[in-house]
Amino acid sequence: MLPYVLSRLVRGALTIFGVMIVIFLLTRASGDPAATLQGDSNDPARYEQIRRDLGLDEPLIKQFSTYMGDILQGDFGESWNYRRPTVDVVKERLPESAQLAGAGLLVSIGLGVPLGVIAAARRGGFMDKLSRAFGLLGQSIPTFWVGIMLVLIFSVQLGMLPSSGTGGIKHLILPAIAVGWFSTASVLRLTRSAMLDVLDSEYIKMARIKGLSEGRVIWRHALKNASIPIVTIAGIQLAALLTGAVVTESIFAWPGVGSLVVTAANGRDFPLVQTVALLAAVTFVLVNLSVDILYGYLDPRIWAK
Amino acid sequence: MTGLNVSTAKQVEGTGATAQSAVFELSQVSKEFRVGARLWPWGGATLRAVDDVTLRIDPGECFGIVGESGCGKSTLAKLLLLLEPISSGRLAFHGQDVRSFSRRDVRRFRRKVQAVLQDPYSSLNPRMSISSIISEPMEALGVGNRKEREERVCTLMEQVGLNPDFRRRFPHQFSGGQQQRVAIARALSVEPEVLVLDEPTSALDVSVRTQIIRLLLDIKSKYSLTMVFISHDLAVVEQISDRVGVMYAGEVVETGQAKDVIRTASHPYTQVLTAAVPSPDPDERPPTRLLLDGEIPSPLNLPPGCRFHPRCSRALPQCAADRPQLTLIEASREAACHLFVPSAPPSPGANGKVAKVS
Repeated sequence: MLPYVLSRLVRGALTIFGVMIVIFLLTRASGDPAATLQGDSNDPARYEQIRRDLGLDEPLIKQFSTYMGDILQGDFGESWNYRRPTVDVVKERLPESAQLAGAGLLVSIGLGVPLGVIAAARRGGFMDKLSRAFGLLGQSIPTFWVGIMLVLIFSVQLGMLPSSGTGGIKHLILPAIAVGWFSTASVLRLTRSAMLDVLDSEYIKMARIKGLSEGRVIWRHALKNASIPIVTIAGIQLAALLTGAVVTESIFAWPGVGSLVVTAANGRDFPLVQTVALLAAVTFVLVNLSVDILYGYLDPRIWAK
Repeated sequence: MTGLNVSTAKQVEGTGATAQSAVFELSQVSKEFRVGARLWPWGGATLRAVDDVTLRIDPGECFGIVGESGCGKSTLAKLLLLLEPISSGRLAFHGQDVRSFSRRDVRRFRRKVQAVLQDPYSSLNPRMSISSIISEPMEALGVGNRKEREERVCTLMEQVGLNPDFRRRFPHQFSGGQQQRVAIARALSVEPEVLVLDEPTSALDVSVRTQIIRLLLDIKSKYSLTMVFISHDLAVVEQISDRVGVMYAGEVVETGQAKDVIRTASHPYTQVLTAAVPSPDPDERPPTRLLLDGEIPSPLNLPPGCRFHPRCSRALPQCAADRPQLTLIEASREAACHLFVPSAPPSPGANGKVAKVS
């Protein structure tokens, strides 16, 4: 098992390095921060001064090696906008994002898995049709529209729930539904197809011959064997939610990482964008690593290979 | 064996008086599937996988079912195992119509009827240890407590030739033959009365196949099990079965004692099938080599009359029009072929069966 984890760790490190290069280049291709920071003043000397202060006058390769060197020493740079270490800025936002991501994941797993299982078990039946329609809607209706509709109905019309900001469970409900909407649909569809695959197999036939109740056949034998793709998609969704439910956070003015990165990108705040992107990459790698390790528990065949 | 002869004869007479003694009794059992476009109720087509099968399986016998791929023998196994409902006809287990089974009846049935399927690997849940695979039927049907089940797992594993020390292992750590032994141990765990074996040896190597057959013969004599043995391998079927039924395009075309049917086939199809088996004895060659033209008919589009007539070298004019019924042609031997009822025009009442209603 150890070699398995190690090989995945090495791959993860390579992935993160690759992401860092791409983000570094992309941010620098996106515009000139010195011009933004300079504001309305048109003084060339001041412009040069800003460039020198930020190190933008150096060749790209030099900039990148400085950046990498700093990171290896634990220095993630200072936000040009906030004038504080980027790590501190991100740290403040992270709990909010984690809360939203957790709630969103709860919605998508709590709804998606049972609906997918029932749809597969009653293939072609009413629940199946309903679930499939819901899956299609979930994946084809954009998140921003869902968010706006939720606000319109539950906040504006009914006045039941707050439309923005944080503070308590009530504030969490609408953003959680909006953010979980899309992933509920993907979890549902994936659960359904994984279950259909498994339900077709010989050992399910065998489980019925054994005399197991239908509930036990479906929830114990079949769902356990269908769990690998479900865990995979849940992991990807979690990572995506954690590092930027950008649209949802903007709609509900949720002070998470997603809205932070939007502001940072608009303000050409390269160090902050880079730190958030790095955080995203690390999160993805870690979530995938945990999912990979989880596979081994879900399926004893995997570690044997 | 004499008991078998009597019961076969009675079945043909259609009296049904011996119904309580048969384990399985099928009369004109059919299974249809709807395939293709199902967007509209009239879309798609009907596939007849099992077509008007009438037979009985008596306690303690091993009934072999042989036929080519796609002849419906595995579907028949599914019907016997109540994995699929029958479309028409009557299937009775110990005289009770399975359609009238309550939930409890089905549970009792599960305890009495177990199965071994073709592919040992895919019929074992990859996520369960051997021990829990073998003990799960007992657990589900409430046999014994945890400790007794554990002991029984060890006994069973020894019985099927596996080392009980390996019971914590998983299916992928075993070879195909060992996996099939696990499947057999699992089937035996609840001491069933009937064992349905759907091609239990066809996924195995020849050497392993012999071992498994030996194990099955051993089990059969030890437990006095009723067995339904499905296979396309005539040699294996002859070795293990008391009686056989030959299937073609969803129908049973011939039944009788295993040796008689395989050595001296009556139905033209059985003759072709048995002639195709290479003899292990170099001196014993079939006198003529029978070859068949054409393909087994599609179950979506079955020929009228006898299903076999388009490929039959001895087809008579009426074969294309009238469907022959299984008829007693000699003691404990039935065939569905016009060659054996030359004079009689096919009258529905003649052998106690009603004409097929479609």
